[in-house]
Amino acid sequence: MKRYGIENLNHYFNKVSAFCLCLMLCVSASHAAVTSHYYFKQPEQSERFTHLTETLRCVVCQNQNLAESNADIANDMKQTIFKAISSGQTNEQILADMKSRYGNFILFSPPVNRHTFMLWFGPFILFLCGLLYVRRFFKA
Amino acid sequence: MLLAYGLTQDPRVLPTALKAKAAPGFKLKRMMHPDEMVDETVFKNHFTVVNLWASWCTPCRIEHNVLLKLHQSHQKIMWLGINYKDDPNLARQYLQALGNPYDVVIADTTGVLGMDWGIYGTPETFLVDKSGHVLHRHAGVIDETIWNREFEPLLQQS
Repeated sequence: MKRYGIENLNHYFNKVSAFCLCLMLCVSASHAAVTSHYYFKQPEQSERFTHLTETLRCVVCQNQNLAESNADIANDMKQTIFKAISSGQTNEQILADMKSRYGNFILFSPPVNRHTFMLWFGPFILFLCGLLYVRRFFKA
Repeated sequence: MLLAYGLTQDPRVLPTALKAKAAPGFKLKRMMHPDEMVDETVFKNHFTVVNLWASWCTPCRIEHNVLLKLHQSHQKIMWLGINYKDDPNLARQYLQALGNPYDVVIADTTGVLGMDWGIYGTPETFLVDKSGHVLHRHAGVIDETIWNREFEPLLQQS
């Protein structure tokens, strides 16, 4: 019985390992796809490009970031970011430039400020209120 | 309550970061008169309607007749057409065939000027005031109802 259990466990781990390997390959392939059209002199620039294109929203396919989107305007933005990085601009300068054109909407994750407070914390607040209500209901 | 509030919001209304800010600067040749240059001084001393369009853009074709009518009825306004990521020859043929609703047409062949305006696609229409500041942006096809609801009140206010 114990021997049968160990064989099953090995089979299970082999399947999980194969799945994880496929997942890792997919992630690295998508990373390569984002940067493959853009050739940077330094690897650090390529990493910054990936970070920025994952931080900014595609304004056409609004549930995708720039890295994921193949929309025309997304490609234009990637080209703009590529040129900005190559010319020595910092991430902050590039983000500020994009925000000046598109506002906070261009950020895939909106910043935490008084305008977005309810967006970020509203669900937790509602959940806590619900918990308190349920607790009071059962106490009564 | 939140759901009720959410249902009153129109997700198609896209925010613009340019409201109350100076219209983006540029310096380009006039597409229909290539020996003349035009820059952001074109916005001064009159209202300007800026319309981003392309010959390949089907919704632009839909709104074209409306723009022609509005151009006829609002001749004190400067009508600036920005031809976005298009072939200038095809764009000229398009205007020659369908009529030209613009006083000035410039070509943004690379899309950089469009990004400066913060556009999401074409068509998009902006209203710029007499000091060159952006008052309003409408993303999508413009018709007379939208013009009367969104643009006309701003023109009357000033």
